[in-house]
Amino acid sequence: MNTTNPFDEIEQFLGRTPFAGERAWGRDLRTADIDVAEYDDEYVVMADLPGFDRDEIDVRAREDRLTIAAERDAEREDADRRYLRRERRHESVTRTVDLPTTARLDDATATYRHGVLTVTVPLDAVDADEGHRIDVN
Amino acid sequence: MTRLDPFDEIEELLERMGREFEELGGTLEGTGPDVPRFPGARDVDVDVVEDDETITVLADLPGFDADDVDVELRDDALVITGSREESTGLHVADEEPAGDGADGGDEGDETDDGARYHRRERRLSSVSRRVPIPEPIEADAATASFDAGVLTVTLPKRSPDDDRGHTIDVN
Repeated sequence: MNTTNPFDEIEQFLGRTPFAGERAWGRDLRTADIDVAEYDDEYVVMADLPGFDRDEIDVRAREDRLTIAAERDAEREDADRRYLRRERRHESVTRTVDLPTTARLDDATATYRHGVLTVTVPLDAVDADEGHRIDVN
Repeated sequence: MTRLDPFDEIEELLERMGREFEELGGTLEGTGPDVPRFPGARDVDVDVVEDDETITVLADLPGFDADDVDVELRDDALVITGSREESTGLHVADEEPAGDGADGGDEGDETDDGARYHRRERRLSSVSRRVPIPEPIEADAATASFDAGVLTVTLPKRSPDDDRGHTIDVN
């Protein structure tokens, strides 16, 4: 039986599910906030990943998709250590970004500083401004 | 069925909402110009962890320098503020791909340097948060560190002895 619980609707309206933990006030705790900016010759993705080490961050580009994954050891909580508030994002965070077909994935670079990952993907210039040119024979 | 009594959930919900609004009020009164963008918006995500001796506050401040971050103990609350010069710290076009808040990037979808934003989720250039501290702490012994965009403030709890005045060892 799968009756609709009226309280579910309230929860949905408020954008969160009590006790679920994955969402708080409409914010998905398993993803990272990103900026994606396109320039004429490159694509820049910046992701907020506070509190990670460089080697805990995995950046992969495959088939015009960029996947950012970060994972750190879980904070322990026991009888001696109680959370009075817990809003910070999860220990494991992933985010996928679609890249334009002109992206040169092999030449992509990534830096991590002050908890912000910046991935720069150069774009092939040809299509950027003029669209794809079709030769007339 | 693992579900609890729905009324418990509502109570929990209202309690949480109360906390949110309390915080919002605190932000409005306590930190001047940094009014939240919309009700419930939270600039800085924090964890507050308590053990027997200390209360530890962890705050996510990605993209800020240690110099950009200010921590102050006001009454029974910790006020955390961060401010940097540029909006989201997107750097100008090519050159070095560091871009941690140094230069470039105006507001809006199309910027002077030709950037078109497909997504813009990252936080504001200045943020603040007031975190109520539920117990008396030793303000003088508080320490703070900043690493990888995470501020950690350690506040030693005041031992019960201090309330009774200074104790003198009996030999």
